[in-house]
Amino acid sequence: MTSLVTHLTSVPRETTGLLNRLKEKAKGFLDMPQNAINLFVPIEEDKEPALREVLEALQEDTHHNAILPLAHFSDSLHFARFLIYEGPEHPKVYGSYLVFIANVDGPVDSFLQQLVHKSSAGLDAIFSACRNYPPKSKRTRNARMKYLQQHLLPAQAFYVNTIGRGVKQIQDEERLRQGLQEYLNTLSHPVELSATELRLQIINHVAKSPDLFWALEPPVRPSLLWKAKENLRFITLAGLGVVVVTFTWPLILGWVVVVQIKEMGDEELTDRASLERLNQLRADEDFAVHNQFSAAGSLKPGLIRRLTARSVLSLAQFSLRHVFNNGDLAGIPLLGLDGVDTIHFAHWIMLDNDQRLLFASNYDGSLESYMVDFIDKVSWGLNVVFSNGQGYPRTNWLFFDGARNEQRFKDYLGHHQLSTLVWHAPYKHLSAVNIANNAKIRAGLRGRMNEKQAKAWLQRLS
Amino acid sequence: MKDAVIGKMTYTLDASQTDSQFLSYPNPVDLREIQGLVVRGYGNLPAACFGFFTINSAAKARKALSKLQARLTYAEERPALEAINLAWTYQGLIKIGVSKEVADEFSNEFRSGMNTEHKRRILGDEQQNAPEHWHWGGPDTPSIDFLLLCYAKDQAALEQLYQSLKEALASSAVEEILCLDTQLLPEAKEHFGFRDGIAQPFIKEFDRQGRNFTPVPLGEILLGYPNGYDRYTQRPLIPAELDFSNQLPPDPEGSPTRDLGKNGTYLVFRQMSQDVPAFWRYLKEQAGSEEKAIRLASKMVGRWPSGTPMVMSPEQDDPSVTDKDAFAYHDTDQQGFKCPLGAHIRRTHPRDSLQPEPGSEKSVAFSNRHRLLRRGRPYGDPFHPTMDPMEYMKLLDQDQPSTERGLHFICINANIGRQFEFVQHTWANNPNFNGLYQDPDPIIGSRSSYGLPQNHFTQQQSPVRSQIREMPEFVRIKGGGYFFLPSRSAQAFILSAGVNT
Repeated sequence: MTSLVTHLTSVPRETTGLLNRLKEKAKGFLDMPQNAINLFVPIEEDKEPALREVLEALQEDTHHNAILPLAHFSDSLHFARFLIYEGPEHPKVYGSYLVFIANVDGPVDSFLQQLVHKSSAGLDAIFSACRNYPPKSKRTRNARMKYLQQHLLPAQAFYVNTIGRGVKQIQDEERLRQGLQEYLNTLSHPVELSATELRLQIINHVAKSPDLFWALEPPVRPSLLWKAKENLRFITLAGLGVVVVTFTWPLILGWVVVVQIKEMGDEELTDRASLERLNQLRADEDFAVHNQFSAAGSLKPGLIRRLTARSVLSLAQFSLRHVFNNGDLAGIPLLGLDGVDTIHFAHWIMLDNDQRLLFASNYDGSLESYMVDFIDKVSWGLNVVFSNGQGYPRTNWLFFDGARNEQRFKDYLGHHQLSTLVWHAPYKHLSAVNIANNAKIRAGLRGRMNEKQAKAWLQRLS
Repeated sequence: MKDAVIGKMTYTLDASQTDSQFLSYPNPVDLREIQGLVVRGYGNLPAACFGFFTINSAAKARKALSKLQARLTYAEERPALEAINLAWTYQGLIKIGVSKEVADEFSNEFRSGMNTEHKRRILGDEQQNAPEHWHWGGPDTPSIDFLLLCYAKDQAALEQLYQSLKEALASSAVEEILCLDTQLLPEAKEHFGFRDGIAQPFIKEFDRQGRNFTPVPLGEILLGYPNGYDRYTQRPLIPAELDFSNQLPPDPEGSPTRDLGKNGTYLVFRQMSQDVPAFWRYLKEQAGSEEKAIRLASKMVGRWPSGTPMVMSPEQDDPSVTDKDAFAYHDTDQQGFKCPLGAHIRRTHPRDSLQPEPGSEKSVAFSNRHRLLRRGRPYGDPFHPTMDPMEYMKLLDQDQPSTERGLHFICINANIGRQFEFVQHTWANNPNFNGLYQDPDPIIGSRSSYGLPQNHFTQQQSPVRSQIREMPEFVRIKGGGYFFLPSRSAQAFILSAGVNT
């Protein structure tokens, strides 16, 4: 009898378990593999100096500091930063935000849960300087979690260098490459083997190495179901776009003309930021292969500009998610447009009822090379997105000129760049090109290759 | 009171050239305005020295420098006996009386100098290369106001010239800080034994032979002309009312300001000390034999000792190649089998090898926005008078006195940030250049960055690369600075600036 009862009661429990699992599955099917965290939390004015001290301590060693050691999150956290951004009424009214921007593997909520569970004291040390943070007596995990969730902002556009490649994969594949390099150095050079022979020898070595043999399996990738859903979404939205353009092209054309007319009357910034300001910004740069860049500014006033900015960012988001999701940003060979392969992540966030836009990116090289790369290769992309900002170098027909005016553009950035107070970079010696190459080294351990293919693959170990 | 010499030097608009034979290309450039070093390296004047000076009294110095101004060499003449050029530091401009308002119109790099923490990071001037160890130009050495570049037919003439200049300046409270000697080496070589100075940006306006290469826009080398973006590089533009004696040309872009930069440019100076025995000792150790050491060294440079590029003659040196600059990378050596992807010349001048669209004109145009007009000279006695690496390697086991030798690297560019600093940081020091991982420029690159050792050199080969590691540093920085090389009008303005205020 009792066993029957247990049996009966256990049935619904099993069902809920199954449901939960299904729910999990469905979530995995809907979620993007990489996600943007954008926390904007108002600071209490009198606590800002203390907060700056806390952040300074974090910056000393973002991996292993005593307050919020980000090494605890090395399984899911890519880049992260803290900065302080003034409110819209600055300097008349104090309204500064503490901004936390990060890119993580898996859902945002899971990461925040981890933060709350592993580093509640660290969160308290930082966010207790912020308005309405739960008072000491009420600081439960739930209260903290709720607080963080309340202050999340969406990114209107979010660029991920390669959608689906997690931080763990990046770290593992770099270990693989280093292992293979060590192995190659044990061979006597020049190697007297054919490429296919050498490749097999390498594969054999990997298979026999307890710390490398995992690499023979392909990395965890988004499910086929997820890919099908993404494709369906792409086709639906693209189709919808074609329909909209077909029926409203005169309107769009008229729109562009209106923007062009407005553009001719817009003021552009013509002076340089102070050397002191610029050198202060430079002081936080070039400690790794990559750098952080944070900048913010006000949008040009008026509904037209606001709608232009919104539509452009939506279009950008659509193309970033469905087209430029595999290592190359904005390259369209069909149109002769060159892409950029040095960006890891980028976030575009609209603020204060669309009055302002904050941009945050992680890129390879120095700021000079970053600017030059974009001016040379993707000035149209910069123009179409940022020409809605006040003071941006004058564009023509949304796409032209603008950033091509090298000096004006660099000066514009000098005025709008924000000081990033804390920056965490977990793989600071790897460029985006390196990371992509590592993934291909691993992929080349599987499958058949002819001599030519094997030759090309072996060059990846240069 | 205004000096008579200054008074006469009012600006003349671009007049037709008096010496039409000098240039084969009809050009809008007034050569009387441009200091000679921009147009020529004074190869016919083998003796040269570089003097650094500090000003103790602006009023006295102004007089002496005004007299000197009449003796400076401008591009219109090809001097047969001697040449003198003069370049200022930011501190020097302030000291001679240029107002802060005007001086702050100069480029950020020039104003910041080479010593900031950030510049040290990107230029690789850290640890043993830190400016604290420098012989000049560092925080612990006397501050430099200007640089005199002197050239003459022979050493005796040079000494006489420099001595007379130094004495005249000393009597006007201008003190010499130090003077750097130079010594040209046989066959235009540098101390490691390789021919140097082969690839230079081709400036059509300065071409004397009517050649037809892809030109580098004049504005990349000289301020006040359209640059590689067909725009004007940031330059000191000042309100017309500050140009008291109407000495400066109008802003060519059409604003009501005057252009203090036009026909002037920036000069970057780095003293690079070369450890010749350490270089060849390491290579011999790594390669095993002398022949192989020369081959490995050539792979690092990207050229054989004769200057013939690896791309043109991958297996052995071929001194008979006449035009050693006529090559590209993409079609002949995309993978780096001939000239390794990380070789010195493939970094400092990548030609058509980088994005966008390697092999295309776009790629060449991209490289051409990062060019340096090199005007440096070697210094110190050669390790062996023949300059032959084989001879060098014979001497390695003998006890040699450690002699100071190297290169006084001088380059001219309109935008220090986009040109010199970019080449040094994004290309030469960058261990991740061209998809590599831990490979700095084997000759001049920093051996550590981002807190990690960066000391590999990889040779792409079939079936797989070979790699050397723990490559020591062969070049050490002993001094450096950013200078402004003014036009004739700007020089007159600078010398009169303090008089009028």
